[in-house]
Amino acid sequence: MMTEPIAEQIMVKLRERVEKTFRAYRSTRVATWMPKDQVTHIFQGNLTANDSISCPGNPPAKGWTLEAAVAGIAKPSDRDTVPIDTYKNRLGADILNAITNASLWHNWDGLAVNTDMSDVEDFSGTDGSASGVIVKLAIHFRVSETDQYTARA
Amino acid sequence: MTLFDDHFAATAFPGLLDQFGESVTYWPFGRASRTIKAIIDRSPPSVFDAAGNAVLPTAVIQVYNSATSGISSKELDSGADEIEMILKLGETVSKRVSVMVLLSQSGGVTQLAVT
Repeated sequence: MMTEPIAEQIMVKLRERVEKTFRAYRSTRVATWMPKDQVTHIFQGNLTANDSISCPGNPPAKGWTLEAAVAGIAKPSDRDTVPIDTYKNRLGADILNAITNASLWHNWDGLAVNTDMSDVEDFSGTDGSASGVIVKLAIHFRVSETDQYTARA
Repeated sequence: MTLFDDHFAATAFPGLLDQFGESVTYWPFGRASRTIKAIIDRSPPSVFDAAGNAVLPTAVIQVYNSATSGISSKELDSGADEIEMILKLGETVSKRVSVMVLLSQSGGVTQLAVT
């Protein structure tokens, strides 16, 4: 398999962990997955410089923070009488459990230095088509300044 | 249904279905599927997915508002029902897509967004 940048390797592992509990998708350019109940969509935001974990050296180690997110869809049957917030609460908790269900979950098999759980945001489609939660993570990792494909512990 | 709904469903929509309709399969959750005729608008304007990203919904479809020859808006379960259809004209293999939302149910016609 072609070697990928550390940020991509972390996102692959994130999907693999969530996949053990939910159907988990990362979108292609034109999304082909179905937004159904209990389906999750894994995506990422900005890659922000994190110089608080950068280290001197030759070459130096450059620190980054990757904003990763797992969106869980709550779209039960129209005839379901369970409150939609109940499903959202379960989704948020189960997604976090899936993410942390690994030894030293926060370092992603040595790819990252640490991971912070950020917000669990609510979303509701204005057309009533779907709603759910978005679990956000801040994943801090270090790479060689001259090679973004090599993790530095 | 209103008188207009009855008239439109009885006189106008059949002609539109004859001209523009194609076969799709409706898969109501937990019940037997049925083949019905639908007018399909492929690649309608984008909507937003669960994550707030713009995605391209597969289609908007129009069928009779009927539990036999179409899809009754009363029976529809947008949380669980699926439609099997050709996604791109010229393809031979149909694919099952999810019913996203009931867009309208007037004129004896059920209009659904699927993706």
